[in-house]
Amino acid sequence: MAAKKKEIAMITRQALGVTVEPTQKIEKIYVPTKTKKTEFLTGTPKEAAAKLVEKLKFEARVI
Amino acid sequence: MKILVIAEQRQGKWNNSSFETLVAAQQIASAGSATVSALVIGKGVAVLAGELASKNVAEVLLVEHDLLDAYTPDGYCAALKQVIESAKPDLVLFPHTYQVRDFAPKLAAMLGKGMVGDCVGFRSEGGKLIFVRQMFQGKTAADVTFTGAAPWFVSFQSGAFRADQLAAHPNGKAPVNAVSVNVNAADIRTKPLELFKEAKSAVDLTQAPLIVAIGRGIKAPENIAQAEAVAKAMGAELAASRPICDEGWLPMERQIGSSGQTVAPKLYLALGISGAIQHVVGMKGARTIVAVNKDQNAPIFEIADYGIVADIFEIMPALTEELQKAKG
Repeated sequence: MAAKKKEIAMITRQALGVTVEPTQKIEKIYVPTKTKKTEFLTGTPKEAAAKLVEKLKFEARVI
Repeated sequence: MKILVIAEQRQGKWNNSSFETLVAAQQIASAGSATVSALVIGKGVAVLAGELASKNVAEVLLVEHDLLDAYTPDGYCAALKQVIESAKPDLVLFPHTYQVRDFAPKLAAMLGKGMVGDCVGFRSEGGKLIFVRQMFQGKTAADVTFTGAAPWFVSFQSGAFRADQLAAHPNGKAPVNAVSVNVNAADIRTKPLELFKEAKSAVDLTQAPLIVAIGRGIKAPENIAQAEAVAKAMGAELAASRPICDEGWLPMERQIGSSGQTVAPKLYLALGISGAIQHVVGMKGARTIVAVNKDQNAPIFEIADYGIVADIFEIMPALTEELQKAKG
């Protein structure tokens, strides 16, 4: 293959005359820690629905 | 350190995330020794500058020019570059609005600086400011620091800070200083035409205290009636994630998310919504978030206060019944 024999040209930043330095740095990449505590409601659909209505009415007091 | 917050207004009306960014600035200032200035740019916006002056800021910069009446990236950048060169802030903060996405990177580049966009928070460690931004649609976070010389440019995601934590000025008002700028009509290469609303909204979801939202999990348009029944029993408005509106199952005006509306109701009940970041940015400000999804690993549970891992088709009728019972 002709492509295999081709010379791979390496171009450096200096050769291009690029003098700009990076302005920022990524210090760390991580999986974000969850800040909210989710309360899971379990049981049969009817039980879970009843628990939810109870929570929304008396705990969160939004309905 | 000097912090400058670029507040955003359009036709004399605030973009409310400006105040969230001001809160971010106040918090950064209290974590170290810094002063906060706020800037309003436009034409005939002195009243808005006065409003900013009532907040806890050292000064308000008022940048007015005939050519800044309507927003253009060229006009804003030309003006703000001059202000930044004369005021010499160390940190320039923006709310991450559509307009900011349009001009802030250009402004930073004009000054030979970088910008860390769409940040969700900050930390101060050993006198060094670290900005936190999301990557891969919020699946990972990255800590980013600036390495070059100030000024540094940062924008904060909408909802990252709470505008109701904004501190008022401790004794009356901060001084408002008008800054004159040179802007030439020849430098402005675009001409904004009339603003228009894409669709006349029959319903204003931003004002709804209770919202029931459906996602792909609803499966078919004929199933929407079940979600409507839940909404009706609760006295809530019905909303949806993008796929539902793209399919035309609900009108576009009921779409929540980055390409729809941003809401912050008392209660947001997400039914069969996985919680892609594009949806989450539109509703994470809700006071109480409830998620029902059969996939226990759905990202919506990350931000939910209450979660039910179940089939929505089993929960919806049960919930309607319980709600009706509760209302008596």
